[in-house]
Amino acid sequence: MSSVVHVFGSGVEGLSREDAARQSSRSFVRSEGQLAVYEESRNPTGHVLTAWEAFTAYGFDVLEEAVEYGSAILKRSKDSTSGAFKSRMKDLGLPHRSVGRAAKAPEADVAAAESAPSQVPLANLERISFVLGLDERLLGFKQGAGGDFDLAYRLRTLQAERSGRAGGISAGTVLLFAEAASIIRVQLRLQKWLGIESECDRFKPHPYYGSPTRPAWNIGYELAENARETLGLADAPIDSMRELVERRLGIPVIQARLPRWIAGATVMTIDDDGEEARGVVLNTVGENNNVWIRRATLAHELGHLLYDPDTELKNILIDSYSDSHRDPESPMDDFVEQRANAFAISFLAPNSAVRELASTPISGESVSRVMQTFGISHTAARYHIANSYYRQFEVPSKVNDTGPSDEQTAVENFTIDYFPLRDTPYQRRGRFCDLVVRCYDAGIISEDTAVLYLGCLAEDFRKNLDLMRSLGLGESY
Amino acid sequence: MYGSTQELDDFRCRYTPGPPRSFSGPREMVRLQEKDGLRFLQFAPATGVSTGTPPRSLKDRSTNRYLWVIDKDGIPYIIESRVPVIDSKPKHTNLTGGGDAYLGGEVWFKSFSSLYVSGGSGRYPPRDVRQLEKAGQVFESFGYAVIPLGWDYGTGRAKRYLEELQ
Repeated sequence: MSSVVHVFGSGVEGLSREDAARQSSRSFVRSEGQLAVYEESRNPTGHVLTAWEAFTAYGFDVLEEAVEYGSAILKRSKDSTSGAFKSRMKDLGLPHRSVGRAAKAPEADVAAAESAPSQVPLANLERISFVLGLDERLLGFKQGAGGDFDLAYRLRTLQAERSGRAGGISAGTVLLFAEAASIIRVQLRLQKWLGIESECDRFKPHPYYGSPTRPAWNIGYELAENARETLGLADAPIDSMRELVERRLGIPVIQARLPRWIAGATVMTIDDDGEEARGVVLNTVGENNNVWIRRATLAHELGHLLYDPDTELKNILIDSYSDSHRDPESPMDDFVEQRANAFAISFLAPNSAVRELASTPISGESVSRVMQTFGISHTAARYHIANSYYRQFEVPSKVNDTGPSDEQTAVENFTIDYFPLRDTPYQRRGRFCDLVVRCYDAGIISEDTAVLYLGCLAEDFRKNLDLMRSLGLGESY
Repeated sequence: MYGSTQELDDFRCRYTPGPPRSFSGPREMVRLQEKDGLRFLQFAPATGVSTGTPPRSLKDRSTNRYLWVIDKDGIPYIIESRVPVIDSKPKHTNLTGGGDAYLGGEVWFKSFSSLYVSGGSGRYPPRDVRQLEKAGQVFESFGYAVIPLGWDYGTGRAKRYLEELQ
């Protein structure tokens, strides 16, 4: 009998380890310190994993040891689990109470995770690790549990920098961004496991932010043109920014309830291979309620995400409504933001197409037409039309009362308004949930993993699975 | 010479032996002999064994691990190092020739009269915590002080590392 069959069970004869792991019907179960082949009759209380999950997280040798000896030791060192929690909590500067609330775990368990994790139910340890941006699969197994130290450091710095200011960052907001790192990492992993291609790899960071003779906004316009060309969009309006960013580019877009002054953020973390992984966090509170504003916020973040090199992104870049919706050609000290603003408006509404729609003399009707056609706000349209004509013409400040059409609203809206799993945190709904359901249906992840990711009860997950599928969660992509 | 105690007999009355749960090749079915290093547990103190320690973690390597089973003959055990006749490290099935056993595990001699005992065996795993505890009592009946590694409820299996609460 080959070692592959020994580890993954019958039915995988002749397959590579990877293919065997994917096709194996065997499940594994992990506790805080060990991994074993899953046997229902033993009533294990740990986290059940598919063979694929166990193989990709721990490798073949660990699985082989589990079969050989009944279980394999996962705990890297006697304090590897507690140490990961301790250092993460210290790096983020978070109180136990806030972490417990975010993870829906007792505060006492958060404290115990730092001192005696074997006394805490694994499900709680995993929930705590997820909101802290740690990789729950690697708890105990890898020093630091896959946490991104740079992101944690940046979040703590941001919190300190903004302390006492009107636009401050609370512990809850820090936790949301830390959790966003987990969501981004998992979403990209699930997409990869499902074999979903993304066009994001066709873009490379662009480190040039202009010069005194060539302003940053000018570079932003060029990059927007380049992005449209790369994506074959020509001058056509973008029907749905959400679809373009999430589906075509495969970029995680996380909707979160953030403080009112924040429009969005670009978050960079590390994936399973230690490579950088980027995603967008979009505030659903405040002006983004208007889909035209939301489209501009998303386009702005896309400008950062596609073109800003790591040095400018600094792991997380938080954009306020006031900065990210300014006239791109107005004087700004921050060239990174100015370039992203110019990218956003020009990506949504190409300059040449705007000139065609709003010919001179510029009327209120033509401003409305630009707004409706390209799905941008009145303020953005006014700035953009003026800039498209090098500010040579007056743009009327009064236009017909106009707003997003029902169709425009529908295509940009996320599937969060009605969501069957009441416990699932807001930021994990939408595309993330879709991928979780799909991976579960494909046997790639276990029910325990799906439940952990969706932050719900197993009974609720089972009860609502058909409903989630019927809503298009699980089959729409 | 096979060692035996009343507790061992009781254990064998209480439980039913079973075939190995898994094996991966014919070499694992070879029954090793005393000339290959196979021994049977006798009353403490043990002689001719190497002292060792179980691992505390994945990083902490175990030293001088022995494999054991309880079968119809007693408690055969062998150090887990390469055996020439099978040209590999022994498996639990090499203690039984692939035959039935009640359960198996790992043991480390802390001293010649005290043992660390685990139920780490993929081929003859303890069925539950109770059976593993009973096996520990059998070891004690041979005059050894037993330090059990315990049970891991998360996996529903014997614990394979020595956990020291922090």
